[in-house]
Amino acid sequence: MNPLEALGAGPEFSAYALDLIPQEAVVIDRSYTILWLNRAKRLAHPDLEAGMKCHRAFENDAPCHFCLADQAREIGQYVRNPVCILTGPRRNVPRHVNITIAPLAGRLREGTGAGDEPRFLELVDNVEAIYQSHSELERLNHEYENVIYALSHDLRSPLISIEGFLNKIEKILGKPLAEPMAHSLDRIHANVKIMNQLVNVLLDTSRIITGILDLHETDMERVAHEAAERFAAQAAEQGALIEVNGDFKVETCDRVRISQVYANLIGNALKHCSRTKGLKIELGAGNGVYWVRDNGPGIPRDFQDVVFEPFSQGSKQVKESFGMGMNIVFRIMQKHEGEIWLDSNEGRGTTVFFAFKSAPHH
Amino acid sequence: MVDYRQLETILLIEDNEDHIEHTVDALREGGLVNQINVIRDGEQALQYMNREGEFKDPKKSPRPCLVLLDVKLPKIGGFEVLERLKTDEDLKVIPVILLTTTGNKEDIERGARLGANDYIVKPVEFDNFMQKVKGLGKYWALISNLTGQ
Repeated sequence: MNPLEALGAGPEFSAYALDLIPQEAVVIDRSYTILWLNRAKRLAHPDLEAGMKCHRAFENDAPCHFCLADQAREIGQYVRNPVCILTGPRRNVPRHVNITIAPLAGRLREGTGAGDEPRFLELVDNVEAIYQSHSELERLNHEYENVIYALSHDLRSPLISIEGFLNKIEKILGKPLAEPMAHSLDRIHANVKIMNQLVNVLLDTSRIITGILDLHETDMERVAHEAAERFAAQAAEQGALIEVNGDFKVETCDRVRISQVYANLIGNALKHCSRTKGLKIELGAGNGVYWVRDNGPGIPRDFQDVVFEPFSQGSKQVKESFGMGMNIVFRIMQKHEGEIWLDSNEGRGTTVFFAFKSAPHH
Repeated sequence: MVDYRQLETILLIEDNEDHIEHTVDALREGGLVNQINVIRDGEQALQYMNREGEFKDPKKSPRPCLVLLDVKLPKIGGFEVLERLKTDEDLKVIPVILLTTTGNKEDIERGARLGANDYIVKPVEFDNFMQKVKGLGKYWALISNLTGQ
């Protein structure tokens, strides 16, 4: 009896229907014996036939100790094992598949008195191609990172030379320099500095995109305090105050990257609120959500939608800003599978919130 | 009286002519009078250190008291040069300061793992250089040249 017959369908119809399934499909009973194979399975494994043990048992010559059919019977519903690597004496090369096992018989638990022997439909999706393309993607990522690294090195090298020769020219000319000359040299210095910062941004962004997070249990309160301390002098110069308050937790995250999140957010607040008298920056936390809040001028409504996009410039008054800080912050949180969002009202300040995937609101 | 330490040589292993010029300028402007020998690729650097080929004569190629090693070098890369120096029983005592253009964290960590004594992000500035030298026990060998001028 084929599986759909067990569910009440006619023998011709059910055999035809299951043969249409593109995945390899077999029906096994509780002793792992194959009762039926569909067309895809027969094509993939011409040597398999009804009456043999299921392919995993067949390959290993013993039932798998972690049989999905057993699990399906135990919980009474389908079990899916995404990307299972099949190996065994019959396979020289590991094969990457997704296996789904669904119970077919109506009464699954023993002793329910139905008399039905549980049967299981096993579907095998071949994900080898996806797996291979994933590996290829990783390889390309690695290559990309190497190119960016080499590029950033090679871009910086001539900048170091330019800066060095500029200094030499200035020493030869002596000071004070005549105005047009002084201005030109100043502009060259400024542009070299900008170029250097752009190379940094390039390097930073590529590292975040392609890099692997160094995840550890991290005391968020400590990270926040360290960030606040790092900016304390700059804040004092501006007459601003940085406070750390709230219910901080220990999170599994990349400490260096999260420090960078705080640094970029505090740095942004100090830059964009430089004209705010009595500027207060609060590093807060509660309910698994962290925030950096300022009482500055706020972000214009039409800019709020693009604030996390690369090279977004909110304020034309802010010099030496490429609009990459918030994008880097966004990418760091994205890499952590977390979230970042903001709340801002013109004239009433800005709060940037971020949360990790373990946060209660997720 | 000539201080014998004045004869101590610094070996600069760097392929970029501009960077060589700036580094030597920075050290000279700071007042350092040590001899600075320059090698422009990794292969020659190892030949120099092992006194092979054209570097057989110890008078022309004295063993340096300090090596400044660029990370990126032609023929044999800076990290491989570093590894060979630091796994050689005779040479491993010579302090090596890595020169990097990017200050890349991975480079710095890799250098430290291979035994680099310190690193400097280019451009090399004299104050920064002397700061690093202080920690290497070579401070007095170099500083005596400054005070003896």
